[in-house]
Amino acid sequence: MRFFNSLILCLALLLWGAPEVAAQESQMSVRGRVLAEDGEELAGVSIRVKDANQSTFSNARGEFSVDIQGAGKTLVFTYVGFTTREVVVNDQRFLEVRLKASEELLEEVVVIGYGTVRKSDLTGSVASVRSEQLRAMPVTSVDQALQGRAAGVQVVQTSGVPGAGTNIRVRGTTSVNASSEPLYVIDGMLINNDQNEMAIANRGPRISPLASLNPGDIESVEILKDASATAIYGSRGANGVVLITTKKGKTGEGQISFDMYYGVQEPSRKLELLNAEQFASLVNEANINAGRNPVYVNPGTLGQGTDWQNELFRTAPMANYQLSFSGGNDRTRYAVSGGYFTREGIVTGSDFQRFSFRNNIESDVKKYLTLGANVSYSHMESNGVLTGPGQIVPGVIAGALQFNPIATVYDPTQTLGYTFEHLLKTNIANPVAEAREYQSVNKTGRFLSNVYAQVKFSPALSFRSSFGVDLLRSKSDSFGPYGLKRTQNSLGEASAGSLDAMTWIATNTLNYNRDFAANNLNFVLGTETQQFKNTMFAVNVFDFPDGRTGFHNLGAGQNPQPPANAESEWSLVSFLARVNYTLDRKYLFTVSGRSDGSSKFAEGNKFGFFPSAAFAWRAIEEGFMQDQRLFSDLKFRASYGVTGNQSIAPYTSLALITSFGEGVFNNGPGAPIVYYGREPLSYPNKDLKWETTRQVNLGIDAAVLNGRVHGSVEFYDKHTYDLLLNTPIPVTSGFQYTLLNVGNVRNRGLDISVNSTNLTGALKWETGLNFSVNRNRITNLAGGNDVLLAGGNILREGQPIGTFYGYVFDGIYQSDEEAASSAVIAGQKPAAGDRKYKDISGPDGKPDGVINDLDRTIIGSAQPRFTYGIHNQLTYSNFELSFFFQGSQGNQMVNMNMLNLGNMNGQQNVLLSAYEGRWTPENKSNTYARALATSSDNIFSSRFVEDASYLRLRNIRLAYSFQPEILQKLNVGRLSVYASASNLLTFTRYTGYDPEGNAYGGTTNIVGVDDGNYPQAKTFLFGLNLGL
Amino acid sequence: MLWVLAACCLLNLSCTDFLTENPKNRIDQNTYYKTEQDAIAAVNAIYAYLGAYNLDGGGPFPGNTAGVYHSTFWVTTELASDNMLNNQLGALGNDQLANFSYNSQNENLLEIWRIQYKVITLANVAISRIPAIEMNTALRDRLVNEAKFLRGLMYFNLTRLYKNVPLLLEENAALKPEAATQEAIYAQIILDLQDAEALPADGQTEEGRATQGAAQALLAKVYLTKGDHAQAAIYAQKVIDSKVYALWDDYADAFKLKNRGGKEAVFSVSFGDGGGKISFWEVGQFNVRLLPVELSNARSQVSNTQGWQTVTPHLYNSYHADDKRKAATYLSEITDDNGNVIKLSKIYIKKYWDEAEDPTAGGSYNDFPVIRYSDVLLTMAEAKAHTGDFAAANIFLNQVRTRAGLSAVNISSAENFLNEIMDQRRKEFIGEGHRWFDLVRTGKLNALVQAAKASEYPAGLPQLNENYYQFPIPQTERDVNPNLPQNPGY
Repeated sequence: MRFFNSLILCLALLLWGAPEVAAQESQMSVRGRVLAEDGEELAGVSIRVKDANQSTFSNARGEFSVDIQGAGKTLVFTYVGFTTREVVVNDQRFLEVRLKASEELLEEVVVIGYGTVRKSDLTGSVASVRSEQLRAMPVTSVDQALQGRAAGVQVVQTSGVPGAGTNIRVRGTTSVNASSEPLYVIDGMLINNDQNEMAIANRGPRISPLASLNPGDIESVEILKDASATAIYGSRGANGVVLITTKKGKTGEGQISFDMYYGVQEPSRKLELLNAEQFASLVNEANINAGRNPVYVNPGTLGQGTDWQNELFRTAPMANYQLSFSGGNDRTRYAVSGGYFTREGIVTGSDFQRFSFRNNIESDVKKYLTLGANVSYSHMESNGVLTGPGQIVPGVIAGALQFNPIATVYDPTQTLGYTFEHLLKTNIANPVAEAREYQSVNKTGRFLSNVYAQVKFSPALSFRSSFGVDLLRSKSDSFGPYGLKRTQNSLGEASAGSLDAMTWIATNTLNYNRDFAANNLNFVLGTETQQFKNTMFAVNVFDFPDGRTGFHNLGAGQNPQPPANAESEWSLVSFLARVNYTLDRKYLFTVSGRSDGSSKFAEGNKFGFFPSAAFAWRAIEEGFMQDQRLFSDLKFRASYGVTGNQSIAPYTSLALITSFGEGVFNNGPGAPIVYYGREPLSYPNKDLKWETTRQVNLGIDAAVLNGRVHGSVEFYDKHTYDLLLNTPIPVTSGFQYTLLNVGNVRNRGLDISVNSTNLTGALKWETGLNFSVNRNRITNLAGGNDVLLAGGNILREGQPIGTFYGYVFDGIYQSDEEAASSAVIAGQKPAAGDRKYKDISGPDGKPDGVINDLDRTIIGSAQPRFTYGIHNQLTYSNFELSFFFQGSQGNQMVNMNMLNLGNMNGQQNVLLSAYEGRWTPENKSNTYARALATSSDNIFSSRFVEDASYLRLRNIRLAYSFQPEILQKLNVGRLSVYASASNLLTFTRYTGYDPEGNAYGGTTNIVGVDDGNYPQAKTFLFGLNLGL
Repeated sequence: MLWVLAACCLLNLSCTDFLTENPKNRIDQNTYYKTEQDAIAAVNAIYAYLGAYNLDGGGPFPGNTAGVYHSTFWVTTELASDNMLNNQLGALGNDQLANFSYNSQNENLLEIWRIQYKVITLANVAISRIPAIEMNTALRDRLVNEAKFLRGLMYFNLTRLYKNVPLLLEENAALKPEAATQEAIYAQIILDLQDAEALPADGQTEEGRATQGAAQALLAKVYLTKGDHAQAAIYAQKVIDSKVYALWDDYADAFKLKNRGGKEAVFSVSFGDGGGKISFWEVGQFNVRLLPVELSNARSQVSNTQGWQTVTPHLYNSYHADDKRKAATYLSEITDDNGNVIKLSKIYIKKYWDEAEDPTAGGSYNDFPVIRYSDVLLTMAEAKAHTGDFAAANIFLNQVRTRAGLSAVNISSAENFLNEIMDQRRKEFIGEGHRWFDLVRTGKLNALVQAAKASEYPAGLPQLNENYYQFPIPQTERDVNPNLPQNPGY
């Protein structure tokens, strides 16, 4: 560590002192701008002074500044995809140079950690997503827009809750307990996106911290995938890095634009359940089969009853409005925007809205000094409903599926006027009452800003200092009036909670970039310091005889509960360095490293060092390639590096005391004596350390047919060591779980992306395709012990994360004799029509005639064989049609809903197909068991595991741009209108609402579980973009 | 430029402080267990897990508020007997216990295992740490002995329920312990309880804390269960001779709020929210579980009575006409707000409900009776009968009978006496979680369960052979501790 720091300091001194000491007195500075023929600013153009050792690149706005020794020199402008141009400089101090596009592929500049690089000079693995692609579909937050856009980036929308987060896995799940989410970096600022630290759940779903960023403000997103690209982010690089660049102003005439859309959403699917008449028949049959009396005298008279899905779901509007203006003169650039986004949820009672504001400004205050600030504030408000498994009663979606269809929504005799519960089972609440009457309101404001100064010591050497602040204040209130099932114990409940979080981050980097003939040396050295603090407060009040003031008056509650508060804090100190060296334009070398010190780990384990190295060979530049016509670009890349993961809660390594325990000693009629206890908080672990990931990446980038088809193929192999796992431990320890560094996991895979221009001419057709294969495997786990998790998930050595484990459902017993002669679960006496399970093993490793825990086995996996995205864009005249398919193949889902929807005990509603297919002496089903009121079979088996492969038409969009001639009359610069539909078609065999989603979206190690999940909506909208 | 370098150096020097964690809202274990206050809080933490406990909203099972005697423990040992039937729809674990189809994945059996080991680990912390604290020595000894009493009580429950279980006696004991023999466990229980005999007598310490009488009464029960009847009688006699305890004249008075911790209570666990001072979840579950739903519907004042467990008609119909306990214990009809009488289709237990003092029912402020004085008397009677001293045995038996309104008896056959003891214990302790233990101790599990429940389950109950004399070790525990063998038959 110390050695590394000293090395950086030495290098820094060396650079500062060395090449630029003696400036020439006849030196003059030329500034200018490089544009394409259509006026687009070109970034990253190489500007070289002919016959001199002097060169620079144009910046993101196409601007450059170069020092030359006297007049009469020639500047050479080189840019891949454009014809090289030479310009003689006489006495001009400002040049505007236009380059002509060559037939070759247009070259992009790519943002990487602490810098930018020409795409051709990349050695690492970076996927780029442009703002046009992000704009193509309406999303609440940027993470959703990344779905299907980049190879190696798997995005799962865990819930359809407006404003809810996603699970993003860059090249697989690298961790089983610490977060596997990538690091987000917005305009160079490393963002804390930890839902536990940056969001509060107060009896409602958490809102993703990323939802505070208006997707309309984003210029581009880069996803860093291999260790060469991410090692510069050290202990936060193991899960990949998402770099987000917001829109900046450009020199030139001011631009005003107004963008809006309005649309409606509806549930993409409805499940076929029993109506009242059918349900009554089921209840009767179940009771008769159990030797009891039927419950409903005349089911035939009950008719359709209540369709609880219709009562709960709704058609919901969404809309987005954004007004922005940007521009700049030769010294100052600005971009200002304001946005409003509103979305109601398809479940009654849920919605989300965001007000956002951004101001990006940058000014060349002095010739050598540029100052800038990216300032943003957003305010979000949301109303939530409880979905998912639930504590006292399950969430509203499970409720709507299970609730008795004979019952009506309303019952005027009840306190709130709603039917209270369905009486056949004690833990299902009226979902409509819960969704409408249980309020859960979140208000969050986030100020996310940084200011920076960039000092140019010489054309090659510059220094940048940036200071950023991320302030988040969130308030979450809820109220459940007396009369709801959920508030039966509390007699009405209100809660108020708040979260204040503050991160500051200071980054100082020294950048050096210089050409030496055909060689280039590029360095970055830096330090970064970051600190996070948050405080939380929550209080519950129970017993509201009068609920009219809701959570607005906690004092109206008669039984206030003890308040709770908490705070946490962590800090990081980092040193970073990267060297790029290009030899002869053909051989590219990158070496980088970061040393991170984290407060979260125990003394002695605080520091980690994360190095990487990469090599790329631009074969296209070799002499022997000059005569071939097939390739217009060909590059081979290889990298290796080490990254880390430190996403665990602070204080985990400390042995702390807490105050859970409390109670009373009663003494006859007197007042009770209240006592309070103190006890250890957790099972102590003083040896916690980083998770470490080592990754190899091999890649080929190629373009053929004069660049009309280009793409890349990459192979990676990622090994993560010292997995942090919240491991179940024997409860004889007094605890159920503890965090240990117990295992290794491997992710291997292929990322393939191809872009092609299929048709040029009047009808232009472009296709982008990406394809990802990832194989995840736990290679070592806590001494070979399995870890059983919720949702039927298991962690087992040799199997991937997201493996399902349980009994094997083996059909239905067709006769009592068969049931009597089969292996059964201890204590159960199945008969004809009951479920049959496979006797797989016993104490001696052989089937033993008893169904018990030894008969559980691997019954499925949530890991897809591959995922893919296909994007097509057709342009004809003023019309543009784009459609985007996205899919996942070979993954399975645990449909926990079937625990109830396939259970014929007459205590809850079931799927119509299960009811119609149930076993009866006449209908010898081998799939669905008989109706039986006393059935006690609810063991987790393969019958819950379903194929959840899907292909989704994620978005289709038709846009029309008005003719400039018409617009000129209206004094309008540009105007386009579009209609768009999202999630219009989904091809899947999954029988639940949505083949995507995860009831345990907040965890890393429980994957692919549908347990009353909030489904995604189908959306139709109309929008326009207006520019002045 | 220079200032950056300076900043680097400075940071490097101050890194260590900057990266040191110093939570302000929690105390470090290294600085705890130093004062008298810390010692008291360490022992309070053990008691807190007997009633209800509140996981501070966190943990893997947030909202699970059940302590040892909250409900699952006594519901389980009553369901798995001739006493109770399950009326809680969807509670599979309870159904399995009532009809003896439970297996190693039964959630009740896991909860009972888990929560009792939680109490044991906290007792071990107290026993390991408190002796080193400089404080009043009398108080220090008392606190350690209270912890030992509670540890003994938990091991007594555990070894009766699961037979061979890990015997952990130190803070930071082995993570994956082996099971100890029942013999070794009993030896340790007796050591702990003999130390706990040094505790103050009832009335000399805060009501609700462990006492000398509680330790001696528990020792009597331990010896009775072990079959050491002479020792059982000696310890029961010590409790009787202490003259600290007596029966209330009326059986119903034993469950009145005004008599909580009273003369009949040898060891009780208290419930209640301390008048709102502590969590709402700390209230008792007796009325929630045992009073019928119909009561909440019929009376506007009453709420949250669920009637999740009912009694077997066999028990309800077995009372002698003079037995006053029947009226004090059961509810077979209720009157609504308008004075109408509603016949109930099932028999519910109301004995924990002090209707006059607590008309709202629901969450209860009553105590759970772990050991009542009548248990000491019947333990004495049973022990004496086993040693052949029927004269003495009948005296103690008749104290309980007489209080119930029954005539005195004089039984001289061992078999008849034991049958009478079992009948008295059933009626005296219904709903107090003793029944399964009594049936197993006396070897009458199969005979008495079949007699009471055969008609309830037309499909038949399994033959309750000796495999049913211990419950299965919870599978999730065996999943993480391969050193634990499963009990035979599971």
